[in-house]
Amino acid sequence: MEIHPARLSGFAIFRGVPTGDLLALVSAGEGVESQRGEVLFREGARAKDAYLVISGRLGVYLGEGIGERLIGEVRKGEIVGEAGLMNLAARRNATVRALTDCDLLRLTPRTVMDLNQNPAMVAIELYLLEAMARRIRGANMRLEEALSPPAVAPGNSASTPRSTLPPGSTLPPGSTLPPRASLPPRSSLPPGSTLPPRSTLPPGSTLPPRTTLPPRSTLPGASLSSSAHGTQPPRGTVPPPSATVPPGQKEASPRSESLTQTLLRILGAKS
Amino acid sequence: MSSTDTLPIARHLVEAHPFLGIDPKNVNAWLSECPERIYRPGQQLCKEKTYGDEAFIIVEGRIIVSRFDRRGFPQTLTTLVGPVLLGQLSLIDNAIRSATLTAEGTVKARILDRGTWQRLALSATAEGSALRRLFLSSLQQQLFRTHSQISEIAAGVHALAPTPELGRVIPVVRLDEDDFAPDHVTDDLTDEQKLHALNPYKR
Repeated sequence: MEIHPARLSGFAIFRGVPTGDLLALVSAGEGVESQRGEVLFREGARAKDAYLVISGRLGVYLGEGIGERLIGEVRKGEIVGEAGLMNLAARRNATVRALTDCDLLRLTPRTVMDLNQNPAMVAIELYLLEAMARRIRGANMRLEEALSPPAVAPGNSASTPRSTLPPGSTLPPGSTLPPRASLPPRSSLPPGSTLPPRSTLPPGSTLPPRTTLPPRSTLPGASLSSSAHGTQPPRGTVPPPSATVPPGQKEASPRSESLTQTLLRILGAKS
Repeated sequence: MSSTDTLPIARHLVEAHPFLGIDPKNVNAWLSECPERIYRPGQQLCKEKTYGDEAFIIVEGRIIVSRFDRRGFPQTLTTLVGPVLLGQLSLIDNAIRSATLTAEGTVKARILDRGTWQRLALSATAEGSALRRLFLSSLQQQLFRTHSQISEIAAGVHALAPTPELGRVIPVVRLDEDDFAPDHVTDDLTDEQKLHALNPYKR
């Protein structure tokens, strides 16, 4: 696809750059048409080019599969994938996909080398410096958020939100448990917080094989009921910090039970 | 100091911040004009949330990069060893410093001031091109480092959690399946032994 330099002259990035220099740029680059949904490059792939958006919009994504999330958009007159201009060993740090049909100017390291002292390339480099400075500022803010967990209750040094829940709270129906990775290390849990009094086990009971039980974190509707456990929640049932206790919701569902209660229920059913 | 003395530093810088086609001689052309400064151990090169008119080319020594979290506790983000280019963000966008740089030991640095930066950044010369591209490469690395840290924290790998008392950075331990069962109840026990292990007072 051929791109006329006049399409570039209206971009802020090239303000003041002579048309002859823009012509040199489009001649050294390669015009590319990209259809909506098309992936230009994927996170982790080797970076070997960059794209100037002539028309349309691109989306920048982090993560893969269901974890993929849109973190930004690249619009007309903007450039994406600049790592591909710098270093042949560089990797993409995000995935870029066309949000609409797009016209693009593909730039390669060869383009940059050929236009070493061309004012259009100076303009591109200055644009990239400012754009990257903005991205770093944005990334720094996200890092700051990631580094700052919610406040902990007085007297508890754990950095998880566990201690922010009032004692005796129960999860509202339909609540889901956080991923296991977000749970505190075992050593930080108060002693004796996991099992009910041992005297509740019936005499002569035998345990079923452990493999017959679901993992605790998959127990639906797990509760933080204080009924038989004191005020501490059982291990693996830390709720999100925003969990509240709806009035009249003090649990008694068979799904809201500790590991030992599950054992007892199974044993009782067998006997 | 003559330009021949700084040429090895320019070569190291180009290796540390690679960008295709940068000639170290073009880096050296402006690097040799930058004044040298020595920092003592513990001395700050720049402070977070202050304005700055200098970038630092760390020639020798280690630099601690830190910033305050939202609760006001200092967090060490990384430690960098020279030769490396730092503090250039404030020259580009005139915004406040995003981190504090502290000399871990004695640090030798070259200082690139705003006037030199502005003169070179706008020039369509080989020296200007070398400076812009060196900056671009270093910013790209900084962005990649920051994205990696965010991803690791989000994934729970190498997660950083501050201790409220000291602001130290400590790793968060990930749990696995067996963390939910008492250590002494192992799969090789019989059911009766398991029951006894769970409840040694009942026979």
